[in-house]
Amino acid sequence: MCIKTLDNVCPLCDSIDALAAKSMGDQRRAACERLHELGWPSKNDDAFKYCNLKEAADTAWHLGPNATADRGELAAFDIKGTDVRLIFVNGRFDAAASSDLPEGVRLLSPMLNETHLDRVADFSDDPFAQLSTALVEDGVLIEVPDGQSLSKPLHIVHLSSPDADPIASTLRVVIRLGRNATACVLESWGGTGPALVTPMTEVELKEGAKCNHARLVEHDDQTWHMGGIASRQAAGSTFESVVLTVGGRTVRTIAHASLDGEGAHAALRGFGIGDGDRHINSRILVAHMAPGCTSREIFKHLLPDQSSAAFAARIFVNHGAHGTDAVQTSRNLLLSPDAKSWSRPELEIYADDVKCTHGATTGEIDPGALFYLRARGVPESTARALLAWAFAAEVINEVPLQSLRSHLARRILAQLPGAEMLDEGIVSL
Amino acid sequence: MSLLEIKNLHASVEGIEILKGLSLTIDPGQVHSIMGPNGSGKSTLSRVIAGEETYKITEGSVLLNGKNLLDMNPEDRAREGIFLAFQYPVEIPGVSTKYFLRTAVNSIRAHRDLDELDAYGFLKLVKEKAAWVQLDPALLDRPVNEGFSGGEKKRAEIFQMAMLEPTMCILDESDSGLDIDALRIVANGVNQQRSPERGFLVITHYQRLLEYIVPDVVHVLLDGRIVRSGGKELALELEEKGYSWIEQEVAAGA
Repeated sequence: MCIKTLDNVCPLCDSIDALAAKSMGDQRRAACERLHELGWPSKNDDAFKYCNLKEAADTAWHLGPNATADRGELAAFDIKGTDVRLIFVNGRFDAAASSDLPEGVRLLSPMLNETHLDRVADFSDDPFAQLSTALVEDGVLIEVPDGQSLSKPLHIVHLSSPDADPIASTLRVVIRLGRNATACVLESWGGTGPALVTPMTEVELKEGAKCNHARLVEHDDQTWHMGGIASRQAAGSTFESVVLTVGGRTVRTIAHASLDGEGAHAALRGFGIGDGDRHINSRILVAHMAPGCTSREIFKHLLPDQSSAAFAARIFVNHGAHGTDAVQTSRNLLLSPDAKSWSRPELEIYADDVKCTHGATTGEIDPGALFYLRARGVPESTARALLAWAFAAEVINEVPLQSLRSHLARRILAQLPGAEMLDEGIVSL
Repeated sequence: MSLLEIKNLHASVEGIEILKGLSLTIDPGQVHSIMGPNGSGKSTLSRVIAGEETYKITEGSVLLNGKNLLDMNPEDRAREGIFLAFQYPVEIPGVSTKYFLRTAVNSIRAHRDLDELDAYGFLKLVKEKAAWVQLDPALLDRPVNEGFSGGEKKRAEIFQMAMLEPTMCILDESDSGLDIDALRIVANGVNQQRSPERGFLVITHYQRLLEYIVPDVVHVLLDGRIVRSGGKELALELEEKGYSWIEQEVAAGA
């Protein structure tokens, strides 16, 4: 991020200048300028209140070196049933490790100037979204024409791989679906070593299009993951997106979903498991701009150790967006006395005849259910893990692809205290 | 040796004494029934035996095959052979009955030094035992007790009992909310499991269940104590006359 180090230099600013000379010159320079205006967020900044970014603020971030993916490391991100995998390391494409680009899928690097990034949502108040624009070198453009489908789920894997210096990297995923077109896109974010990553996904759906999107956050505990998801939907389209956090140190997602056409449907989901002092932060805006749209938000977190989760979400219902049906839910299960959670739902409604509900709960394992399992011979620690899984399952069961659910189960069970006796067979529903 | 031996058991919850010196001995192969009015302590007794930690034991002992149960946590009691069929079975979303039961069966088998059941052996057992209570095996792929009807929940409890092969089975109002057909199915499932080694404690409000699960001994629980014990005819007498005559006799005797 653009901060002055002790020597009063910002290594990233120089990199942004160099990138601006090659592509998106005005856009990068404007983003960099905005970054300077916004500055590094502090705890007094309401939008970052619960993110502990101090250590990240004191770090001199560099652009990552050119690197290729380690095949062994990549294997950990395999998800069966996704034959098409595009691999990126430090924001750059690793062609040797990747599949051939399927029809309708292109790399962004040769066409950054013409792609018109950032046209879906206004993230101008978010410094990390600005950083993402300033630093973007590559990404994926998925364009599916009217009535067609992306034949197979597309799996995009991004690894951050620092050498000597802590690195900042980003990747842009742009999904543009024509009328009644469909696509399923999975993103995996991983990597080891100190990194600041700013994923940004922009989704535009024409009438009746359907997009299924999942983002898996699987970094090690030295990564600050500050991501964004922007979507804009025409009438009758469906966007389902889920952010699954099973890694990272601080994992923040801002999402803006704009339901522009009548009868559009958006489902935004989140699941996260804490580990150590991991913080999971979601900041969501769902805007009902047209009549008869439905939205569903459900965010669930399992919080062991000193981990924490914060959820701030607003449902905006525009003038004339009658028949809006919006549900927003945030649930947290505290698995340790040191875990914390915050929920802040907001409704802003300018239309009549709308149905908006929100619910937020924070609780512990139900003692009645725990006794029931123990009375059947299940050890207490296993019973607790089983009930924690049961809590998570409501979101996990909605994740696309059985293989992705199994993959997640392995990741979650590996981090869930007491889950040694459990296996991925738990995903049997 | 007796299978279950309860002596002078006192238990309280939030400072209120519920069981006030209860004694009861069940021999292997026997079926005992406990009847009593609401609030007499029937469910408390079942939960205290199974080890629910909200109850405080202030006095007395509970032995299973001579081992002190009160020193054990609920899972160890289950592994030693206690099974409680819950009056209100808990719903667990997101975990299929099969997966949950496989976890339970294998924890209990490990305790008994038996190998884990493989998938084939487990499913074979599931099929066989589900048939005992006419439970549709497809139901077992659904989350534990979620979306089960009242009758299905009670049958599922008896099915779980059959899967875990306990030595001392406690049924807490397994007949409540059942129509006559479902009652017969539940009773039949229990009777299939009767054996010379296994004991049963059947807690019920109604004599009707005992027409199908015929007890060796019937006890009347009143205000935390067993005040009368007799044969199966005692249940008929209670059905006819209610509890007040016993309450009066106890009051007169005191």
